Amino acid sequence: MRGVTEPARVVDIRSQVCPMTWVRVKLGLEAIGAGEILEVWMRGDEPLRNVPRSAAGEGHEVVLCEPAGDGHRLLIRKGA
Amino acid sequence: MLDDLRIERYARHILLREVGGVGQEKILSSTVRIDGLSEAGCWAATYLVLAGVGRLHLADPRPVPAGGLLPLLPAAEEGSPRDQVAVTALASLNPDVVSSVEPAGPEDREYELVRIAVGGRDEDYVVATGNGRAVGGWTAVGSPCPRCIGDALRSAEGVAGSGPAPALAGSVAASEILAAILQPAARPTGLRIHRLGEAAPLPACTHGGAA
Repeated sequence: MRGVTEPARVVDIRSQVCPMTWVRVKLGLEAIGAGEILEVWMRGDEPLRNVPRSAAGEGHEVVLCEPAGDGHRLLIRKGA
Repeated sequence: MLDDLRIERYARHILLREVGGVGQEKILSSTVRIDGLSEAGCWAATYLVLAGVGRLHLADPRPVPAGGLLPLLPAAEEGSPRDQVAVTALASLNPDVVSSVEPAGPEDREYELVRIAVGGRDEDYVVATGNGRAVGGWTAVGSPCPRCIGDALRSAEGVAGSGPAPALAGSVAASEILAAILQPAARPTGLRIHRLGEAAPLPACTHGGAA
């Protein structure tokens, strides 16, 4: 069994631009089970602003958002 | 699974909560049949192809009328079979969709044919199914009044600049088909299914028109 914040899947959207940033994250969330964690690597203001908000708006939990490398690392727990 | 090309192509569908990647895959794997290429049917076919319905079967050998019909049947094709002209026109809209001409007449179809009622006459209907599931008809309660819409569609047939009624009807038909594909168990309330052969009278006009 995975740890509470061990990702079931990793999505790297550092080379993507809106709206593909959220599209890729959304597809990543569809590919994991409820309660599992998706790890997202992103770069720039747009995804930092929009991806956590979109995730929360669709019923997922943003567990962590922290600076990492040249961008940010985000952990999202998929909602039911 | 959606490949990168399709993810790009359908990105704005995937963004919709009601669709997503799983829903788009359902749409791509679905088969829809449309009997009757009035202007409403042409609009419905166009919207469904743009949505990415995998296979679209069209059945309407009637000749293209003088002046053509928006948005698929140009005036230059006057006299040609509507379904054949539509298949050619649709081919350029979405490479994922295979559209084909089917024999007219529902009697020998394997599909569960359901009427999207946009009028009370055979030439004014759009008939379709999605993955063998029933597709809802026009609302039987409240607006838009199916009689008024039907009259608008009949008067619009073959008339240039016929206004928004056929496009509206085609849009509603396509939306209903997509809803049936995506969420067959969560049908909107107030919609009424008209099965072929069912003598279900249209409700009285709620706007003072003919009964």
